[in-house]
Parts: sequence; structure tokens; C-alpha cells
Amino acid sequence: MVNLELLITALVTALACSLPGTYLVLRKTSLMSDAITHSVLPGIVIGYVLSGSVLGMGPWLGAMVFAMIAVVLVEGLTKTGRIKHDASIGLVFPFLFALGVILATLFAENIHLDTDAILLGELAYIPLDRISLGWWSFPKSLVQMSSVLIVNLSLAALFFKELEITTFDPTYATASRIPARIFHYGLMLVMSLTAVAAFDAVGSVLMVAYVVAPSATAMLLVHQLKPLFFLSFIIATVATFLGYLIAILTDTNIAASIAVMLGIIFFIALVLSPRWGILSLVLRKKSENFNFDLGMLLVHLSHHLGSQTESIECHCDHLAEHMGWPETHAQKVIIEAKKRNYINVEAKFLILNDQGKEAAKKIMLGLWDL
Amino acid sequence: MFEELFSLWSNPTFQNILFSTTILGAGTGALGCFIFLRKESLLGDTMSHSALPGVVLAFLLTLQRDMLWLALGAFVFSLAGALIINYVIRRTRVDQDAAQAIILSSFFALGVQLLSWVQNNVTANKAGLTHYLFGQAGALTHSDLILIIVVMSLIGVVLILFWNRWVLISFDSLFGKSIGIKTWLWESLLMGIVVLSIVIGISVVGVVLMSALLVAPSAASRQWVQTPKGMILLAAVFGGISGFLGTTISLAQPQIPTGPSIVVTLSFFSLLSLLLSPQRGILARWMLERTFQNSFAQQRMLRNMGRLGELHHDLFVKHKKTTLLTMDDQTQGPHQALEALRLRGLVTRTKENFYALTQKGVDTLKQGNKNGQP
Amino acid sequence: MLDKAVEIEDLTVAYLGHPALWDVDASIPRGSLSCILGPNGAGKSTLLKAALGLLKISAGRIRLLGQSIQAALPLCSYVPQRSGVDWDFPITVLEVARMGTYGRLGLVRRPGKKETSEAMEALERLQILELANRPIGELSGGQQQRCFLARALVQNAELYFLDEPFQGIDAHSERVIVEMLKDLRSKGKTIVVVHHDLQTVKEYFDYAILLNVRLIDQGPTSQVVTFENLKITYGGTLPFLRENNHV
Repeated sequence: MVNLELLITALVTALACSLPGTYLVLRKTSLMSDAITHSVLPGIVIGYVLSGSVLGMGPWLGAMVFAMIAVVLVEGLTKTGRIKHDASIGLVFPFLFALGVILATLFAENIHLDTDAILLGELAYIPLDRISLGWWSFPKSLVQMSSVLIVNLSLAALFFKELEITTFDPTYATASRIPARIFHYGLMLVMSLTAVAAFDAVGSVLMVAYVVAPSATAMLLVHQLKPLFFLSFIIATVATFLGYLIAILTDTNIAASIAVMLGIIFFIALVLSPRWGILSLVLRKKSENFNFDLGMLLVHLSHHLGSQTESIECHCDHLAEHMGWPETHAQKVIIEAKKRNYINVEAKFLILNDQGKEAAKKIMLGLWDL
Repeated sequence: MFEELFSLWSNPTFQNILFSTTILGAGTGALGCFIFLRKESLLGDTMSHSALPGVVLAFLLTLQRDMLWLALGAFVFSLAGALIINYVIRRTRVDQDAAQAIILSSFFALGVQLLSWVQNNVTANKAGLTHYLFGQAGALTHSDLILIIVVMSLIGVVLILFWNRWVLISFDSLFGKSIGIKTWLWESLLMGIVVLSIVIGISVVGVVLMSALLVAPSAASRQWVQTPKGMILLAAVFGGISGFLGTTISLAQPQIPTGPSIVVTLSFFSLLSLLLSPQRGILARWMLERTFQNSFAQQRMLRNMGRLGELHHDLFVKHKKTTLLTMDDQTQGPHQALEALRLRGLVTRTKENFYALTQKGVDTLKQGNKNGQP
Repeated sequence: MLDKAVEIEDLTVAYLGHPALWDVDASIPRGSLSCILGPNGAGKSTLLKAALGLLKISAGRIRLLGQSIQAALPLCSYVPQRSGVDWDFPITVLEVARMGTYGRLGLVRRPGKKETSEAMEALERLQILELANRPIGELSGGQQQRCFLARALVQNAELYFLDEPFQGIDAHSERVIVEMLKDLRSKGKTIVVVHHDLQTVKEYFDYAILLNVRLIDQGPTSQVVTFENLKITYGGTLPFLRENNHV
């Protein structure tokens, strides 16, 4: 039941989307992809009306034109300084989308604007819509998407350092004669192209997920640019396979299933990420607390050094009671203190050695350096 | 045409629809101001998309299309999405945009997946569930409309009652915290109210267009009024009028769906406001810039002529036009500047292409120098 | 002609009638370690950006190293304010330093071993070689600034523009950077720094431009950085532009 062509098309789409997608995420404009994908509707309708066919170049060109219109409008509105970037997006795409729906109902009654298909693509139909190249016939979406992938890969490879520098430090880039604005619009153009092709293949919801999720997930796990790209490829691939599998098993929509899987993977990364994940946050808190207790022990011991109550206060068994710690915890702290060479234990007495005394002194000055 | 409109407006069924969309537009418009000011404009979009799985699950569990339950389900999932986004923004280096995009797409996809499962496996009445995508004002039942009116009115009351709190947390939450107000509580409440209005709004305009109801009125009103009260009131007015007009258009021309009609009307209001507002509008600014450039060019021209004159030890010496034009390659419109100066009597034209300062021009220059002006 | 690294004539930068710079005539001698002083909003950063052609000017002429800005850019290096950069970006210290070679590599060509070793040399000079593989987000303010300076060094420029490089950095980093700048000067380079700390002006710089929308004064620091001048520059006593723009 596994349709290879479908799977490959989805994979190619995933790869093609994650390339400009990574840059979008890094530039903190991920939602432009969502905006573009909704804004193309009027273009598709107009293209259809003018060219008279649903297939072919008409709708494609129309979509591209309106994608760039959306980009220009959003940038233009933001540049006036009257409204912020996200508000511009929130204004432009609903307007264009609403326009598209109205145009569609007025002029394109006869084409069935299958809303599900628009939003989700009809991956199941991919193998049915074919093109012949030479002896073989390929699904049209696969051919389109592969061309886009090749374009994206080449551009990303050719202009790797230019994209890197214009994303990281646009002012410096322009001063180094690498024009940040041109690369910005170029990126948007490539994004539009990819969006239109992907929208045709997998629908707008999955397209947004493909653009944003893999690289955002990768950002939680790696800290360098090239590994970021590779990891997002891998994530996109895994999600595609798993999502597809689940869709077959549960007999549900394929595109939706993959998008959900991408979300799940992101969530897992969120929990497990070594630096920012929920898990490591909890673990780190625990170790911070432990260190704090360790310091408290040393300070406590140094306070009672040579005092009359020394024999009581510095006794192993008394410790837990005095500090208000559970017995097991107190044991752990003592063991750690011994391990790090701050104390010696003789006949159940805890004796602060020189290193421990130094550390205690520092702590009381506010320098926690255990 | 007015007859038709009049009959439209007096039709009781239509009146219900009109009333509910008007109050919806007003309510979301006002609410949207708070989101807009907190720079969370696209939260509305995200939360509308996130609501879908909740709607479907509610349907699955209750096997009814009762709006109350659907709204509850939507509420739970929207809130969950918002909380996750909040965590991601605050704790990781993934930014707001990306977090929203991921939650938006994955939650929505979950909803769709559940939906497709429902369509294949459940036999109960599921018609109209897909209308959550585009909204279907026409398919709303009488009780639905009443619900909308009630909920939006309640929201309005809450807004007015705790007015100070909402304004505080939107404009200066740090200050609020410092005076002991539990900002997290009010922020959560606000979030909750927004989600509620989104859930209601989706049934009319659908998921995709929902964010416009929240963003557009405030973007428009911001261009006209600067005070919080004024901005929110004006936004409510814009939203309400758009709801009314949009619905009227849609009722008059039944092919035009209601949701998109309202959104297009709203967008027109915003775009016009952005363009035409006297102080902050794009047009006003453009005109101001032109005026400045013109007077600046004149100042420069006058001063350059004075400098040339000083070089010749004769302030009234005649200058060739071409010389004057090339002195300052950056300023715009040197021709027009010369003309304007001539019309003001500060400069006179002698032979064809020669210009000279008049006495008045020299006096103005000297005056300008005394005042420390160029 | 060639004794001036930067020549600014009649420079005015104004938007909507609000002047950022007005009629500024200034010049910076070649081979000097110069500073631009002035209060907030005086137009110091604007002056730098205008000099590099990064913003649109309303009037005036600028020459760098005796040439037009565009022609001179390959010989210039710009160290912007730290605040404008995305510190979350997944990039290491070494990679940032190596960016200094991007301008001269031109389109498409990739940085190779030569560029990498140049970057490492620069890091060494700024004493942050051991941080080469760290992501920049983990660095302290002073270390970040030194990383940027390394990037500038790599460009092998003739003319350096630095925008508030000493803002919010530790003393050690400041020392290292000042040493580097003085070293560059000894090699005949010209350095222009937007500076904020009046305490260190005479110690670090030999030439100063005092700015507050208009030029207040310019010249060797010993002559120009006087109490009177500073009072005028920072005191805000002159009405610089009247409400009414008409002459």
C-alpha cells in the first residue's frame, strides 16, 4: 500500500521547503510563509480566469505574482512605521485571501474549489496527475518540486556565505558591499516559488510545517549553521516517513499526519533539548539546589570551627536535623563534599580542611565557585 | 436600491444575523487593540488554527454539533497552544514567529486528521464541521446567533468593568507588577477572553480570516487616535460597521460569502486609515516630507548663491543657472527651488539663464545667519 | 588631498524636517586615531553610516580616501554597535572573524584555508583564540566586541569605522582593543571611533570631532577637548533649528 512516488514527492517537498525555511526561521519571519500561502489564492483564480484552464501556467504565474505582492505589501506597510511587522502580516493575508474567496465564488463557480485540497493538498492524487518526459511518466508535482529543489540547493550552495552574512549582520554586510536588501528580496522570491509549488503538492498547512518545524526543531539541538541544515533534513525525512505510515494505518489524511508528526518531534525536542529543554531545565535546577546545599554545609562547618558546640554541630548525624534535610540527602551532600576534597570524615566528625575553609570564605563573600 | 436595502434591514432573520455580526465585529475589534499593543497580533491567527482539534474532539465526545461544547473544546486547545508558545518564547531561542507557525500548523493538522478519521468512521451528523475553515454565517442557527450576542455582550461588560487592568497590562505591565498587581492573572484572563471571542468568531468568518477581525480595526484606529480609550472605542466602531456593511453586502448579493465580505470591508477601512490619517497617515507624511524637501532645497539654493556672491565680493552678482544647479548634487528639485525663490521675490531672473539675489533675498540671508540658520 | 582620510562637506541628513546632521563640514586626517564625541541623538552614528553610504543624505558631499564612497568601500571596515546583531545566530567566533574576508572574496567564492588562518591570527591578536569554536551567544560583552574587532582586522582595511566599541565591556577587553587600534595607527591606518567616555578621550585619541547635529569643533584632542567646548556640545544651549523651516 505504500506508494513510492507519493513518498518521494513528499520528501522532495520537505527538502525544498526547509532550505529557504531555515533562513526564514533565522530571520524571525517564519510567518511570512503562512502569509504567502494564503495570499496566492486571488492569483490562482485570476490566472485561471485569464488562461481558461486550471492546469498550466496561468494559475502558477498568478500565484507567484500575488505571493510577491503580499511580500511587498507587508514590507511596505511595516516600513511606514505605522504598524509592526506581525500586524502587517495579519492585515495583508486575510485581505488577499478574502479577496480570493470572493473572486472564486464570483468568477470561478464551475471549478470546484475544494477547500480541503487547498489547505491540505491531495497527496493521494499526486500519482494520478502525470507528465511524460521521454519514455517515463512522472507525477507532475514530483517534477515541479524536484525542479524547485534543484534551484534551491544551487542557490543555497552558491550564496551560502552571502545569506549567512546578510542574515546575521545586514548592516555590516551592506558595508562590505554585499547588498542585504537584494538578498532579502531574493530569498522572498525563492520562498514564493517554493510555496506555490509546495502548495500545489502538499497543501498550505503542511507547507508551513515543512518550512518552519524542521529547522526550528534543529535549532533546539545544534548550534551551528551547516549542522542545522543537515539536521533539519533528517527531521523532515523522519517525520515524512512516520507521518505517512500512521496515515496509512489510521486511514487519515496524509499531509495532516506528517504535519502532526513534525509537531510531535518538535515537542519531543523541546522536552529533551540539552540546553533549553524542559528536562534539562529541571535537572539543572536540581544541581543548582544541590550545589547550594553543599555550600551551606561548608559555611556551617566553618562557623562552628573551634566553637564550644563543635562536637555537636560537626557531627554527621546531627547535620540532617540542623539543616532540615532528609537523612538521605544529607548523606549525599557529605559524600560529595568529601569527594571534592573539602572535608575529611573522622569517626563521624566532619572536619573542614584547608580547601574547604577557602571555599567557605569565598562563599561568604558571595563568590560561589564550587 | 435603497428600497432593497430597507427591506433587507427590516427582515427579522436578517436582523439577527446583522446584529450578531455587528456586535462580533465591535467586540473583536476592541479586544484586538490589546493584542495589537502587546505586539501579539498573529496570536489570533495561531489560536484560531489551534482550535480545530478541540472542535473535532468535542464533537467526537458528545456526538453533537452543539456550539457550546464545540466552543469548549476549541477553548481548551487554543489555550494549550498559547501556553506552549509562551514557554518556547521565554525559555528557548526559538522565536515567537517560528513557535506560532509550528503550533498553528501542527494543531490544525491534528484537527484535520481527526476530522478525516471522523468522516471515515463516525456516522453521526457531522455536516457543517468543515465550515469551521471558512465560516458559514448563513448556516448559523438562531440559538447560535443568540449565543454570539450573549457572549460578546459579556465580553464587552468585562472589558468595561476592569478597564484599568486591561489598559495597564497592555501598556505598561512592568509598572503594574511593581505596584503589586498580579499581571499574570490578568494576562491569562485576557488571553482566555480573546480565545473565547476567537472561538465565536470562527463560526462566522472561519479560521483563516479570524485574525483580520482582531488586527484590522486596531491597526485602523491607531492611525487616528492616540489615547487608549479612544483607540479601543474607534476600533469597536470600525469593527462594528464592517460587520454590518459586510453582512449587508453579502445578504444583498448572496453569491458573496459573509466572512470574506466582512474582512474585505475591514481591510478597506485599515488601508484607507493608513493612507489618509492626517497626522500619521502615509499620505500626510509624504506631503510633509515633500514640503520639507522643497523648503530645504530653497534654503540651500539661497545660501549657495550667497556663498558664490561672497566669493565674487558682490552679493548681487548674476549666476548662470547651470552653475547653480550643479553646486548641490544631493538636494532634490533645484529647478523648482529656483522658481519658488523667484516667486517669493528673493531671487530675480535677468537674462535667460541668469539668476541673482534681490535685496529681499540678501536681507533674508543675513537674517538667517543671525539666527544661526543656514 | 591624500592627507585626509575622510572629507565631509555640507552634510545634512534630515527626515521630515527633523535634522540628524546639519551642514556638517568635517575632515579626519590620515593615519589618526580619531573620535566623534557628542550627546545622545547628536548624530554620531548617523555620521558614520552616512560616511559608509548606508543611509540617504539630504545634502552634501563625502569623500573617503580621496575617492567616492562606493570606490573606497573595499578599503574600509565597519564595526557596528553590538546591539544590532542577532546573538542567537548559530555561528562560532572563528566564523564571525572569517566573515571579514567575505567582502574581498566577492560573490560565490568560498572562504578557504587562507581565510581561516587569517581569521585565527586576528583572534590571536585580540587574545580570544581559545574561544574560536564557541558560539558567539556564549561570550561576554567584551569578548563579543573583540570578536568583531577581529573581523575588522581580517579585512586589512585602510580606514576603520567603529561605533561605540567600548560600550559595556570589561577593562581587559578595552585594553586589548585600544592596543590593537594604536598598533593599526602605527601602521598608517586611519581609525574613526564614535566614543562615549569623556574620561579616556585624551588618553586614546589624537583627533576629535565634537558634534551635536552641527559641528561644534574639530582638531587635535589636546586643543579641542576643552571645558568650554564640552559645555557647548553636551549642554544643549544652541537652538539648532527653529520650528519654522523657512528662511
